Amino acid sequence: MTAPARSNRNVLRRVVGFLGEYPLIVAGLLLFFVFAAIQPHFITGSNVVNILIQASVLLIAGTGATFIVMTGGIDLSVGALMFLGAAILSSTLFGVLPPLVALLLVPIVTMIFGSLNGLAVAYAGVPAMIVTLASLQVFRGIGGHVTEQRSFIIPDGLRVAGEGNWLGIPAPIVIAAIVVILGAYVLRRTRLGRFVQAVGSSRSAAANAGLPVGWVLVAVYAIGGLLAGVAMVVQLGRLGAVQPTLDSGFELTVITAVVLGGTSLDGGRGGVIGTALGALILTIVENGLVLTGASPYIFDIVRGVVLLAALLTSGAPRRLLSWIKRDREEVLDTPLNGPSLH
Amino acid sequence: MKRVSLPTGMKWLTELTMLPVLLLLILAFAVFAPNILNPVNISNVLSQSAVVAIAAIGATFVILTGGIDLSVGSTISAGGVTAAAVMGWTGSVALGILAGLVVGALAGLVIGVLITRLNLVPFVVTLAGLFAIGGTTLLLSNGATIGPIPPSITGFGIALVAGIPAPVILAVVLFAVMQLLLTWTTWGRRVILVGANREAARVSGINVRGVETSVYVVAGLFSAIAGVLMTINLYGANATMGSSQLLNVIGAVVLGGTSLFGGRGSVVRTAIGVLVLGFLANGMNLLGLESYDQQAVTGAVILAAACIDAILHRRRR
Amino acid sequence: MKLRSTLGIAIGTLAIVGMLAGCSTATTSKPVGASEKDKLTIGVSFDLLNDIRNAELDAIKAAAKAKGDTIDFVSADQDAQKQASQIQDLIQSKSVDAVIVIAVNSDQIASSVALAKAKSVPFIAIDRAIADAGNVTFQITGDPIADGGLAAKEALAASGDRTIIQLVGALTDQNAVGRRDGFTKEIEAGGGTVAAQVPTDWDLTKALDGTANALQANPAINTIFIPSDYLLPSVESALKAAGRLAPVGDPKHVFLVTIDGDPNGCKAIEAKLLDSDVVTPIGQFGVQAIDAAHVAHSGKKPSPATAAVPGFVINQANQASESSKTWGCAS
Repeated sequence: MTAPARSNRNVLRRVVGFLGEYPLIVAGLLLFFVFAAIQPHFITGSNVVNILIQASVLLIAGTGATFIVMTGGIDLSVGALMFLGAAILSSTLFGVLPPLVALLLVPIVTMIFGSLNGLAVAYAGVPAMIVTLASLQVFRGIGGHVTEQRSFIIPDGLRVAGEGNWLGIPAPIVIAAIVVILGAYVLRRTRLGRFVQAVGSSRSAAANAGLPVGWVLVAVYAIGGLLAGVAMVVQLGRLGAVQPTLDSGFELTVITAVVLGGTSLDGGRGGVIGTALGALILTIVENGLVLTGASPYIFDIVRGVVLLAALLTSGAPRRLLSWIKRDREEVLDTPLNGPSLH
Repeated sequence: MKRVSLPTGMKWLTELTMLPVLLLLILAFAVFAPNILNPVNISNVLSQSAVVAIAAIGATFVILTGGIDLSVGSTISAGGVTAAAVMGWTGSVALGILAGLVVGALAGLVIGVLITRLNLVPFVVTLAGLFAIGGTTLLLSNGATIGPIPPSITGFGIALVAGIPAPVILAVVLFAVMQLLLTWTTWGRRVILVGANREAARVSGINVRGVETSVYVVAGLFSAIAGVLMTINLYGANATMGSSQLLNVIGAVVLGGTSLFGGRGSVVRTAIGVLVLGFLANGMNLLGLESYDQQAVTGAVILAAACIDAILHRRRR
Repeated sequence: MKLRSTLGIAIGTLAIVGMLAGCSTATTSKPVGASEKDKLTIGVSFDLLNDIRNAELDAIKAAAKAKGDTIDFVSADQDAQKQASQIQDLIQSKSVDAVIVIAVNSDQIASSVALAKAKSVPFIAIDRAIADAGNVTFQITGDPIADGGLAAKEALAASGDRTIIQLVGALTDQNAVGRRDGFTKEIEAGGGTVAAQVPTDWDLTKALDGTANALQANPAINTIFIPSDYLLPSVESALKAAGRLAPVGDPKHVFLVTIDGDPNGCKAIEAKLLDSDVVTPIGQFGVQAIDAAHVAHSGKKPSPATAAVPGFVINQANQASESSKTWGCAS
């Protein structure tokens, strides 16, 4: 994100504009230096690499979730879907496949299950929250059935995505970077990305304009499922084992990262880079709290406060300006994390 | 479905689409596990469902306005832990219960004010509430279970009044009161109106923010009542005991057929939803299903019901 | 439009009916005849299912089979309210002759204990000690404090000064707290240094990230205490990432000691990755619990009413003789 070194005024202006829109990003950077001051070890190169590795799974899953939220949807099933992806590797069928094929099948299977969410949202017209709240239970139940709730060890051949080192960079960081950049590109520069934005801004307007709304919805849940699988491949590689409660509650962390990154839950406004920054801030906070020896109980409180602060400060300069300029009541009636003001 | 015309205020009776499903479900289970019809078993299912039922009453009002409350599990724990702690300090059961309910209502008030006065999205505010309320309860209780509570109150969970478990009577009374408030009072009609058409409600002079704030206070209060009841059932409370209730509570409201878009639904419908979930869990236990299979079936039932409901009411939106 | 709606409803209904039909095939049989009064139906309620719980369940089933008993099993997914409901169903709707319980929470199980007492159903607690032990028919658990102490002695027996990372399980679980306290006490008495405590909440990811952070902050680490075998893969991954994973005997080797004695632990000992494991005697839980159910059913009181069985150590030196007694090595 700190690309202004390229002395491109346009980029600089957009960066400053973005930071002004989301002061929490600035706060996150400040936080980084505060932790660095308290605990000198925090700022070492190896710890920064550490933070990036620890954020990788959240970065990948968060990218997928951003697509879904951009359409005005939500995915509460992502943690369960990831567990289901891992569970599939435990079945005997996959023991006989070559490692690379088995690993590739994980995101394919999670993509198929993810697109089932999309079908229910798009064609039955059930709110995404209900669909994914129910499918959370279905996915975790199936995963539990497949594994019989036993934990299992991942053989070394399947751990490349977690343990590999490509061009001197740990594989999780490489994969997360590729996913984030690709995700941002698709959302901003491709037809699918524009469709996603249009469906999120107004589903009926998009339908009236002749956009394939149903397919766009299925596509974003498929992307969410695909990336949940990719995230799991990385996580499996890092952990080397699967436990029955793996990633339960992870969906809330993912949504927190998305909201923190400034993507509107009503859809239409936001982006992958914001989510990536949100994911990094969450990881920095957790890592910093552990390193400074804070009570393990305090993380949830901090997470809640950070989330509220992000909501309250998003677009603060713009809101302040218009508050001064225009009628106060009118500004207050504009939802903060609501429909686009542009 | 509307061949019989009923007086206004009784219309909700015609909308109990899940009632036949509930009866079919019980009958289907009865074929394979006859003891589901055993009076003791039925009485047990009812009293086991009381906690979810009470929390779901509050959630129904929030959802009727088109909102959502993800903090219900955390507030259940917070209310229960507060009640147990105050009972321990003062030795007074009444003070403990009161303290628990006040904490719940206050948590709801803060959430409601944040949502309405600062125009924040309910989903995110209550998600932050889930973390903040749960985390604070965990920190203050240091992860420990607070209890045992005074024996004078633990009897309530198993007490029988005219053969009916006391928690069931409590739940039924609360359901009746809240359904009456919903259908017969101005406030209740405003809740529906705000959910059905926020703009129209405002134009017609309704204090939309006030109505919306009030439903979150109701939700906080009922979550806390559920938390206190859970504490009584379990002789003690801790910070994580409510965390798995979110799925049950929202699942029950949805199963009952209250629309997540707001404006359509009722408390009685939620009661049916609670019973469907209760008998489903009980029946699967009696059949000896593995817990992971139970989870998958429960999710599938909620999904199927939501799909049917959405398709039935498609033209309404 | 109308056709599509009807179709949707039909499919939904079919799905529900199909699922219910599917349920029926899983019905447990109850072959208890009136003539076989000493063959019991025993309800078993666990806090959750995982490797250790599956092994404990297998131990109970094996012991029950030997006596001709029938087991009716439920799992509460770590929800105390759900466990109370399930035990109520077992006692009142399924009329089991006894219940064997691993409590989700040692305090909140009290209401189920009271119900069992009121209905004169023997209540047998295993694995996790419960607060209201006075009203329990029989209780058999491990001894978490002794087990933690045993693990500490293993670490202290290794040559040289010990600089230790101590992983801690969920702080709401008294087995985790007991293991932590037993380890800490013995280490302090023996002159070791706990350089970092890593809270894990029994979660693999937290264990991995926490151990990685602690290894970075303290390069002098030469010992890691892992309070349950199933966190071992996380620790190995963290060591591997830090370039410090080496087999026993290598000068780079970090001394690893765990508790449980599960299959992963057993394999790691064989592979010379793990130095010591304190084995929980799970087989005994099953046999003694079933015995107690029969004693109580015949109207007598099991004596003693509570038993805390400390674990035993399997390590690189004694694995040949001890592996046959270790439950994780059996499978």
